[in-house]
Amino acid sequence: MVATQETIDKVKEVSSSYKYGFVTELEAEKAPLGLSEDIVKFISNKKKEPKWLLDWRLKAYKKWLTMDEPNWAMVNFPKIDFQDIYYYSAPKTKPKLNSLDEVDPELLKTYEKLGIPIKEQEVLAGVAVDYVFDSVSVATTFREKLADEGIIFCPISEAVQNHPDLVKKYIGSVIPIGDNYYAALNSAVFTDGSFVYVPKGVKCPMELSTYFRINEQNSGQFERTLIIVEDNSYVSYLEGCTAPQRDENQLHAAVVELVAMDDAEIKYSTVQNWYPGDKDGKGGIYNFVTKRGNCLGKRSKIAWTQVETGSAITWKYPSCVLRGDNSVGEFYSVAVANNSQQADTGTKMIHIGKNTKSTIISKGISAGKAQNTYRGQVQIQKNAKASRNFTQCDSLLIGDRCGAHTVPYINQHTPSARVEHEATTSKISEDQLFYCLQRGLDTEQATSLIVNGFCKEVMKELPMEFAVEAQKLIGISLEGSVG
Amino acid sequence: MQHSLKDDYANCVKNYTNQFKDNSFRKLACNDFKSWPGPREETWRLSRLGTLSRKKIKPITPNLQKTINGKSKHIGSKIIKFVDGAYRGDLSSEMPLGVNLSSLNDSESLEYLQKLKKSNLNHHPSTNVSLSCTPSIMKLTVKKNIKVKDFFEIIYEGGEESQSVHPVLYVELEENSSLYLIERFNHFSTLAMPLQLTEIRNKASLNSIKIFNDNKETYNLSAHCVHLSEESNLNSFSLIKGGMFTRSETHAYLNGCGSKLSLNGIYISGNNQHHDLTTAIYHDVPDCISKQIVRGVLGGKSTGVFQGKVRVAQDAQRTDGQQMSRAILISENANANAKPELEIYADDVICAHGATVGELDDDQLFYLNSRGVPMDKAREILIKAFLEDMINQSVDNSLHDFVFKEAELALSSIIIKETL
Amino acid sequence: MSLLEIKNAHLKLDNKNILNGVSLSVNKGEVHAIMGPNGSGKSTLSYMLAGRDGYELEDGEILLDGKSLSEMEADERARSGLFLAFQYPVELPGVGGMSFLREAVNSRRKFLGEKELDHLAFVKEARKEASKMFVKDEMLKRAVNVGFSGGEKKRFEILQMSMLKPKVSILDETDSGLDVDALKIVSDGVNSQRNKENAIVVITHYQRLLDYIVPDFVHILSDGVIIKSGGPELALEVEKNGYSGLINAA
Repeated sequence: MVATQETIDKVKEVSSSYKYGFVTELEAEKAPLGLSEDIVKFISNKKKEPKWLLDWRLKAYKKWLTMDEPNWAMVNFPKIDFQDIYYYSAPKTKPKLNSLDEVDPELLKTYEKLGIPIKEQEVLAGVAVDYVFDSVSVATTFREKLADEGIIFCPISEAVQNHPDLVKKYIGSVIPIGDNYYAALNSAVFTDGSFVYVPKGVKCPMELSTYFRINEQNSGQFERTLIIVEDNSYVSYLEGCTAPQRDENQLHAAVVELVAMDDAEIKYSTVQNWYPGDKDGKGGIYNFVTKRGNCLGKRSKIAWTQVETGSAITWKYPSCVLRGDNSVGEFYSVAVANNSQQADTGTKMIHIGKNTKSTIISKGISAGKAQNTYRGQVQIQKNAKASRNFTQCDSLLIGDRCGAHTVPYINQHTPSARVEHEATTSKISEDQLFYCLQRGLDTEQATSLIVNGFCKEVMKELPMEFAVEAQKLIGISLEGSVG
Repeated sequence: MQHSLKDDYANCVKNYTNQFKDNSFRKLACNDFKSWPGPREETWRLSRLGTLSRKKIKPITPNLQKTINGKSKHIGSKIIKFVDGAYRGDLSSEMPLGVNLSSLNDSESLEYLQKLKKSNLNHHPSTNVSLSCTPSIMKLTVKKNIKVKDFFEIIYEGGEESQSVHPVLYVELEENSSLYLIERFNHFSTLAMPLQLTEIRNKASLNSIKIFNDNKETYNLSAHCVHLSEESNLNSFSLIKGGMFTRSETHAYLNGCGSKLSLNGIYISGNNQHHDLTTAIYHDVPDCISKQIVRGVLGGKSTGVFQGKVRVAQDAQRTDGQQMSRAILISENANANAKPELEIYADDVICAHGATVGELDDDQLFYLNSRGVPMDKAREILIKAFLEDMINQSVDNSLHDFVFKEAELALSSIIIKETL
Repeated sequence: MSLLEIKNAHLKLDNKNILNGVSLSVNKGEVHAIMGPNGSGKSTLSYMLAGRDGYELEDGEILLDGKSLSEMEADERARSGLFLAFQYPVELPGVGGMSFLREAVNSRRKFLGEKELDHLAFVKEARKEASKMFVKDEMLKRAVNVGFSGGEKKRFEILQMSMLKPKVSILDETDSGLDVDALKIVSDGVNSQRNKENAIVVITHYQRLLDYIVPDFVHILSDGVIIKSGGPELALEVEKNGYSGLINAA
C-alpha cells in the first residue's frame, strides 16, 4: 500500500467535485454462471470492444478449450470447475462503514503492525466511501500530470477505446493467447487491468501504482496489464499492497505483459498478500499468474521484484525474453509460505540476443505445513553469444513439517555463454535465534529479523516506501510459526 | 489409424512373453510396457526417443557360441562376461570363495521385479522390457564379512544391428562385505537396456566404476536401482563416452542410518552424440550423506543432459546432501542441459547444489598463452585438468591411469575435431 | 541481597553430569572471575545462566535480583538485565548492526517501562557509545558480526553491553582471539561500565584478562564444582602453578 500524506491531502482537495460521480456506474450486472462463447461475447459487448478484440478473445477461448491444466507444479488442490465461476460481474461496492470501530479488529491489528496511517486504514477497510472514490480523482489528477509527459496510464478497457492501435499491436505479443492454460483463459475473459505507455525519451517522474485505482475498478479475477516503454524511457510500476486482501473470487488468473524498446527500462514490483486461507488452507485464493517481459530493444532492461506472502496457492513465473542484444533481465523474489500455503514460483530467462545478462535471486521461506518451490528456467539460445546468467536460490525452513524445493532447468546452446546456478537449503540456526533472544528480542522478533536478513538482497530492490512495509509483512506472515 | 513402428517393438516384446505363464515375472513386466516414454514425460523431456521409436528393432535371441575379439585389455582380475545380454560362464572367471554368481529362479525373479516396481524405476522402459526379455537375471553375491580384494570386471558386449539386448544383474553385498566392481558397456546392438538392482547391506561397502562405450550407433538406456542399509557405503563413478544415445539412470535409496553415497560422473560427447546422466537420491532416514560431482565436455553437435534430484524425507534429519555439476561446451553447436533438483521435507539439513555451464576460463587460457602455450594446447590442458581432478577424487589410485586413459581417448577425438 | 545468586546448580548434557552443585553469590558493584581448565563446565555455566534451550537446571536455583530465572526464557532473562558476551558471537547475515541494536535496546526499555527511542535519538546514542568502543559507523551499517575480525566482534559485544545497561554481565572467554591492543580496548570498555549498581562475571581460562579487568573475587571451577574461591591472588597462583596443583589439593 503506497500512499503519502500528499495523496491524502489531494484526496480531500478534490473530493467534493466527484462526490456522486461514480456511483451509477457501479451498479452490478452479472453474466450467467459458466463459460461459453456467448459469455465471451457478452463481456466484449459490455466493454463495447471493437471486433478485432472480440475475435481475439474468441480465438483464445477456442484455444483454451483444447488445452489441459498444467500439472507439473508442486501444488495440490481440488479440481477447479470452470463452469462454476462468474466471468463477468460489475464491481461490487464494499459495505459502507461509518468508522474504523466497525472494522474487524484483527484486520486493524494487522494494519497497525504494518504501520499504515489511519487515513489509509480507513480507505483500505472501506470506511468513508468518499475516500475510496476520491482515490479515483487522485488518479485522475496524477494522470493529467503524466499526460503532460506524454505518458498514458489508464485502465486497459479505456486504452482499447482511446489507443486501439497500441493495444492491438502489443496485446498478446509477449504472451500469446495459447501460451498456457490460464493465459488462454485470461485472454478470453479478462475484464480489466492497467495500461501504461511511456513514449520515447521519457523517464516517468513517479512510481506508477495500482493503488491509485485500487477501488476505481474492481478488475476482478482476470486482470490484464500491458506496459510499453519506448526508446530511452523508464518506468517503475508497483502492484499489489501489503495490507491483507480478501476476495470472494477464489481463482485469480492475471496476465501481465511488458515491452521494453532500445535502452528502455521497466521495473515491476509486486507485493502480493491475498488471503491465504485459514490454517488448513480453506478458502484461500488460487493465484495463477502469467507475467512476462519482452526486452525487445538493444540494451533494454526489465527487472521483476516480488514479495509473495499471500494466497493459498501461488503459481507464478515472471519471466524475461532477452531478445535485444545486450539486454538485461532481473528477477528478485521473496516467497513466504506458512500454514497450508503452497507456492510454486520462479522465473524464466530466455536469452536470444547477444551479450544478454540475467540475474535471479530467490529466497524461499517455508513454515508450518507449507510447500515452497522455486522453479526456474535459464535458456541460452544459439545466437546468444557471450551471455551470462547468475542464479542464487536459498531456502529457509522453519519447523519440520514444511517443504522447500528447488527445480532449476538450464538449457544452453552456445559455448561462449556462462550459466551459474547455486542453491542452498537450511533452517534458522539455533545459534542465531539464541543470540537474538539473549539480547532481549522475543522469538517472533528474532525470527522476523533473521528472515528479513535472509531476504535482504531482494528487499533492497523494492522501492523505498514499499520495502519498510514489506519487511513488517514478512514478520507478520510468519507469526505463529515458531515456538 | 496408421500403425506406428513403435508399437511393433512393444508387440515383439509381447509376442516373446506369450510363451510364458500369465503370472510369470516376464508377463507382468511386459504388461507395463506400452510404448516408449514421450517428451511430455518430465524426466524424458530432455532426452527424446523419437528416432529410436521409429527404428525397426526386436529383442535379440542370444547366440551362446558367439565370442567377441575385444581390443581393450581387462583391468580386473575377475572377469564376468555378458554376450548378447546373456551371462557366459565359459568366458568368465571362477568366482573366489565368498562370492557367488548364479541365475535367479522364477520366484526370485518375481521378487526382483517387485523390488523394482516399488522404486521410481517402475516405469522405466528398461525395467519392463529387459525383465520381459532377459535370458536370465544373474545375481552376484558377496557373502557376509568377505572383503573382496580382486577388482571385478563385468563386460557387456555383443548384440546385433536392429536388435536389443537385455542383461539384468542383481548385486548383493551382505553385511560388512566389500567389493570393487568395474562395468564396461561395449554393445554393438542398436539398443541396449541393461538393468541392475544393487543392495548394500549394513556396513558393507561397494566401489563402482561404469564405463559406457557402446558402438557409435547404439542406444543405451541403462537403469540402476541401489539400496543402502545402515552405515553402508557406495562410491560410484560413471564415464559416459560411447554410443549414439546413452542415458544412465540411477536411483539410490538411502534407507539405513549413517549410510554414505558418492555418485559421480563424467560425460564426454562429440558428433551427434546424446549423453544423459539422470540420478535420483532419496534420503529416507536420518544422518546420511550424499555427494555428487558431475562434469561434462561437449563438442560437435552433441547434447549433454544432467538431471539430478535429491529428495529428503521428513524423517531424514541431519541430512548432508551436496551436488555440483559443471559442463563445458567446446563447440558452437553443442548443447548442455542441467536440471539439478532439491526436494526437501526435513528442516535440519544441509543441502546445496550448484550447476554451471560455460566455456573454459578466459583467465586460465590467457595465463597459459602468456607462458607460450598455444591456444589449442592450452584448451586441451585445461579440459584434461578439469576431468582428471575429478577422476582423482572418484576412483582408486591403481585404476586412475586406466580411467583417465579412457577419458583421454574420447577427449582427443572431440578436441581434434574442434580444432580442425 | 545479592544481585546474582546461584544455588547448588546441577546440569546434565547428553546424560553427562556437567555442573555438579555450583553455588555463587555476586553482589552489586562486584566483579567475579570464574577460572577453570577446558571441560570444567565454564561455557555450560554461561549458557545455563542465559537460558539456552537444552541447558535447563536439573537441580538448584538461580536468582537475578531476587527473582528466579528458572521459568524464564532466554529473552525474558535478557530483558530482566542479564547479558552474555559470547565467546563466539554469531553472524546474522543481512541484519544491519544498527537495527539489531535498536530492536534489542527498545525491547529492554519497553520491559523497564521506559519510552522506546525513536530512530534519531537512538542513532545519536549508538554513535556516542560506539565511538568509545572504537566501533566505526561503517561497522554498524554492516550485517551483525558478518565479516568482522575477532577484535571487531568482541568490541561489538561490549558495545551492546554498554547500550543495554544490564544488571549482570557474563563475559565468556572475552579475551579469546584478541591481540594485546584489542584486549586493552575491550577491557577499558568493560571497566568503564563498572559501577555500584551492576556486577560482572568474567569467565576465562587464562589469567591474562584479569590483568586488565581486575576482579574482586576469583573462583576455580573444576568438574562442575567450585573447588576454591579467593581474591585476585588466586588467579596468579593458577598462572604460576597451573590448574593441576589446585585441583589435586582440593
